[in-house]
Amino acid sequence: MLGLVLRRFMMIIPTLGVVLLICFGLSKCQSDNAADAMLRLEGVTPGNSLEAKEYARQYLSLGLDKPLFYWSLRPSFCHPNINAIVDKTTRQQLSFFQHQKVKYTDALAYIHARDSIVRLDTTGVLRPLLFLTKLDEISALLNKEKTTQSLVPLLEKMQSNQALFYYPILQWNGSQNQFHRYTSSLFHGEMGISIVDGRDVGAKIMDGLKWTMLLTFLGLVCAVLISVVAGSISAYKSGGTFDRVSNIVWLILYSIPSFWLASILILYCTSDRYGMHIFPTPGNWMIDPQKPFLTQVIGSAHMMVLPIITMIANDIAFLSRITRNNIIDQNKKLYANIAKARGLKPRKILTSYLIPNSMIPVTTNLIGAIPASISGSLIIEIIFNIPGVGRLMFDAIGHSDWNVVFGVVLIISTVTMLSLTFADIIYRWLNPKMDVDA
Amino acid sequence: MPQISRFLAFIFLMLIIGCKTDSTSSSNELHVRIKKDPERINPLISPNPVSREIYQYLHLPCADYDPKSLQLTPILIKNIPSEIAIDTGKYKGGVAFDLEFRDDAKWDDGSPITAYDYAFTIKAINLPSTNAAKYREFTENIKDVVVDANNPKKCRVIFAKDYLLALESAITVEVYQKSFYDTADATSKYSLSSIIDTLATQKDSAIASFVAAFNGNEYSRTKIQGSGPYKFVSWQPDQTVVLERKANYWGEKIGNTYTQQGPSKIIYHIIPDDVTAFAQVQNGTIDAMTEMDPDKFESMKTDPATKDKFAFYTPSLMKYYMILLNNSDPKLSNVKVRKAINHLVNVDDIVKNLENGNATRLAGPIHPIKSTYNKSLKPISFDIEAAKTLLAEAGWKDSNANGTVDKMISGKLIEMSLDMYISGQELGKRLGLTTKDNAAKAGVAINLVEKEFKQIKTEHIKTRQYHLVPIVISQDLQPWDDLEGRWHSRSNIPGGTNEGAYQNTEVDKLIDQINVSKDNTKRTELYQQIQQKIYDDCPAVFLYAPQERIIVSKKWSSFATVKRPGYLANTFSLVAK
Repeated sequence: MLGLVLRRFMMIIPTLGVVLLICFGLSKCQSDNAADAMLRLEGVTPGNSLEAKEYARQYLSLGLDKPLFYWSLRPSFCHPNINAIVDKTTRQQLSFFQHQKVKYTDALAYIHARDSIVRLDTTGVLRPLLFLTKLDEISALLNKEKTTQSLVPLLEKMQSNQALFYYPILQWNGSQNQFHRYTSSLFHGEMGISIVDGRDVGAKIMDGLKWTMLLTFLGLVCAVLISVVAGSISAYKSGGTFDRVSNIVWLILYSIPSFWLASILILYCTSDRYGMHIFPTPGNWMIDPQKPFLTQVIGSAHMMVLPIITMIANDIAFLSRITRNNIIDQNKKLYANIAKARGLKPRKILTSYLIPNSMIPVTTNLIGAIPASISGSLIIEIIFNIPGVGRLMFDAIGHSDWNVVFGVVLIISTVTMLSLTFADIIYRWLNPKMDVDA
Repeated sequence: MPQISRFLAFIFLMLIIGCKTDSTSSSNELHVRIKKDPERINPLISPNPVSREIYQYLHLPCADYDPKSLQLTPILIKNIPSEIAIDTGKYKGGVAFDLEFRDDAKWDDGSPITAYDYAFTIKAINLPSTNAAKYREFTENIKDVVVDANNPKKCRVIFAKDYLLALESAITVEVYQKSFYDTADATSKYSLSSIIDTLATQKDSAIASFVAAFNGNEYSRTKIQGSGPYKFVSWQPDQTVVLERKANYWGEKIGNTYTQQGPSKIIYHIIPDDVTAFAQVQNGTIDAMTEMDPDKFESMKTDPATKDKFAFYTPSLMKYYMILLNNSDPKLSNVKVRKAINHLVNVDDIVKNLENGNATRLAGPIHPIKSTYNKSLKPISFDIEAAKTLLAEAGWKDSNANGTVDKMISGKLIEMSLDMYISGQELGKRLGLTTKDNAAKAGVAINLVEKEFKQIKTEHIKTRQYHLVPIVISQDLQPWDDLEGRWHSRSNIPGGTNEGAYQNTEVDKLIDQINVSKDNTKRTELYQQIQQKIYDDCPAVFLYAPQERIIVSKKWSSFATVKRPGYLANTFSLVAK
C-alpha cells in the first residue's frame, strides 16, 4: 500500500510540470498578451496617443521581452528572440516576413526604412505600404509609386535572401526566460498578482476554492446518501413500483442539463410569482470574511440547498443505477445464495453483504467524479452567484489573467490527481486482491 | 431500516434549513444589481464602466456634465473657468484656466479641498509609472499647475498649446486627497514638469514606493476615500459592494446633483446571471437594474405583477453601432459599391426585432443626441434595387451567371464576395445573417466568419485584412468629439484608429480646422460639413444608437439620464406611502 502511495505521489510532480507547460504554451497562442490586458484594464483604448508608450512600459515590466523557454529551436533566418522587439506592429510584421522565409535582418531594415519614408509622406498614398507584408504585394505597390524607389533595393535584398534551404538552430536561453520567471516565483510560493484587481493569486484562489470544495463535498455526500439508499431499495424490490418509478425519475434527472434545472429551480422555487417562494433567491451572499469559515457556512447554508440539488441531480441518477445493478449482480452470486440457504433474512443479506460488496465500483465512480464536480461547478457557480473557483477561472480567461488561470489549473490538477490516488487507495483497501497498477 | 429513517430525517433537516426565504430590503437601503465585479474602485487607474458606476458617488471631479442639461456644471470649483490665451513667456501660444475651489468643500477628515490636492492629482496621473494612462493622454498637455501663494483654494492650470479638449481635461478629472494618497509626501519636491522626467523619478525610492502603493491593491480595494456624498464601507469580491451616506456632508445643501445624498446605503449586488437577477427583482430584493434583456424589459412593462411596481427608463446610451468597411480593399474602394452595401443592410428591421424599437438611427459618426449632429442627413434606406443599380454603375455585373456580380480588376476576374467578421454578440449574428440574405439578392456574397472580437481586432482590423466588421463606438458627453482618430488619414497607420482606412483630404483639412477653431458656431458648422462629406463617401454603414433599459422600483423617486449608468442613485428618495 505504501509503495502504491509513493508511486502515485512521485507521478504528481512531473504531471503538474507538463500541465503547467501546456497551459503556458496555450497562453502564448493567444492573439493578445498580458500587456494588452493591462492596457484594457487601465482604460487605454486604441487611439490613445500614449498607447505605444504605455504598451512598452507594461510589456517590459511583465518580462514579455524575454524568450519563452530555456531553449528555442528556430530556423537559421529567424530572429534569435523576436520578443525582444517591443513595438507590437514591428514584431508582428517581422513574424509575417519570417513566415515567407525572409532573413530577419533584411526584414527589419526594410521595415525601418519604410516607416521613415511613409512618415515624411504628406499625401497619404504610401499609407497602404505600412500594412503590406506579402512580398509580391509590396513589389506591385513599389512599382506603382515612383517616390518609394529607395525601398526597391531593400525589397530585392529580402527576395534574393529568401531562404530556400535552412537549418535549425538550437539556442540556449538560460534562466532569463518567461517560463522560468513564472515557475521560480511559484516555487517560492508566489503565484503572482492578478492583473485584474491586483490581488494575490493564491489568496484569490483559496477564497474561491473553499466554496467550491465545500459545495463539491456536500454534493457528493448527499449524492451518496440518496443514491445508495434509493439504489438499494430498487434492488431490494427489483421490478416493483418503486424500482419502475425511480427508473423513470433517474432517467429524467440524468437527461436534464444542469443549467436548465438551475434556472427552473430559481424561477419556480425562489419567487412569489408561482407561490413557491420556499428558498432564498440566489445571489444574496452577504458573507462576512472576518467571521470564521464555519460561521460563514452556517450563515449561508440555506443558500446552498438549490445549488447542491442542481449539482447532484445527474450524479444521483447515475450512482443509484450503478448501486442497484451491482446489488442485483451480487445477489446472484454463490455467497448470497448460501446466505439465503442458511436462512438469513433478506434485509440482513442486503445490509451486511450485498451493499458493502457493491460499494467498490460506486466508490471509484464517486471519487472519480470529484474533478468532474469541481469543473462542473462552473455553471452552477455562475447561475447561483457562488464565489467559487469555477467562476474565478471563467472571469480570468476572459481577462487574459494568466496568473490566475495557471493557478486554478494547477490546483484543479492537483486535486484531480489526489482524488485519483485516493480512489486507488480506497479501491485497494476495499479489495486487496485488485491490482490497481494494471 | 433505521438508516433510511435517519437519512430521511437529515434530508428533511436540510430542506428546513433551506426553506428560508429572502428578507426584503430595509427601508432606506438601495439595492442595485451590477453584472460584473468592479475589479478596482480607483477612477484614475481603473476607469471601467462598472467601477465608474460606483466611484462616482465616492470621488468627485472639479466639474462634470449635468445629468439633465448635459452642460458642464461646477462641483468642487466655484465656476467653470474661461480660457485665458497665453501671449508671452515660456508657454506662449498656450492656454490657461484659473480654478477656484469651493470654500466649503472638505475631505472626510475635515481638511479643506485645495488646489494642492488638484496639483497632486495631476502629478500622480502624469507620473509615467502610474497606471493612469487613460487620463494621462489628456493631462499630459497640462504643463504646470501654479497654486496661488496667498490662497490655496486657487490655482492656474497651464497648457503649453491650445487644445480642443483643454477645458474638459483640466476640470473633469477626479481630485484625490494628497495627504491620504501620498502619506510620505513623495511628490511635493517635484514640479509637474520635473515629475514626468523618467530618469529623475526612477532613481527616487520615495517615488517608487508611492507608485507601488498608488498602483497597488490597497488604494483600489480597501483604502478608498474621496470627496463624494458616500463613503466606502465594504467589498466582498464577486458578491457585494456597500456604500454609506456620509454624515454632516458639506455638499448636501449646495444644490448640486452630484453632491446630493439619497439612500442611507447603496448596496451593489454582483450578479452575472440574468435569471438570478430577474428573480431578485421580482422578489423585491433588488431595486434597480440596468442592461435589461429587451424582451424581458418589454414583458415586465406589461406584466400585471411588475408593471406598477417599477419605473421603466430607456435613456440614450452614448454609443452607436456601425459596420466598418475596409475602404482600402479593391472591392470596396469605389463609393458606389460602399453605398450599395449601405442599401443592403436592413437597419430598421434590426432595430425593431433586436431592440424592440428602442434605438435611434444615425447617418454619420456623431451621436444623434449631440448638438453637432447633422440632422439634415437622412439614414440610407434599405433598398435592394438601388444597390443593384449602384453595383452595375460601378462595373459589377454577373458576367459568369453564377449569381454573384464580378468585375475585371488588374486583369483578374474578381467576384464580389465579402468576408464579414462577427463575434458572438447577438447583434453581430443577427446583422450578419440578415445582411447575407439581402446581399445575395443583389449578387453580393457575404461569408460570415465568427471569431472572438480580440482576434478579429488583432488579425483582421489592425492588419486591414477584412471587408466588413460590425463594431460599437463609445462616445463621451463632451460636445466636441475628436474625429481625428477614426476619420483623419493621419490615423491610417498600423495600430492607428482609422480602422476603415478612410482617406479624404478635404475631411482631413476640416478636422484640422476644428482643432484650431475657437468659435463654437464655426466649429459646429465644421462638424456638420465633415458629416456631410463622410455621408457622401459612405466609408462605413452607420446603424443606430441604442437605448439603455433600466428598471427602478417605484418605492424610490428617480429619474433617468444619458449619463452612465443611466440614473444617479444618490438622487433617489423614498416615496412616501
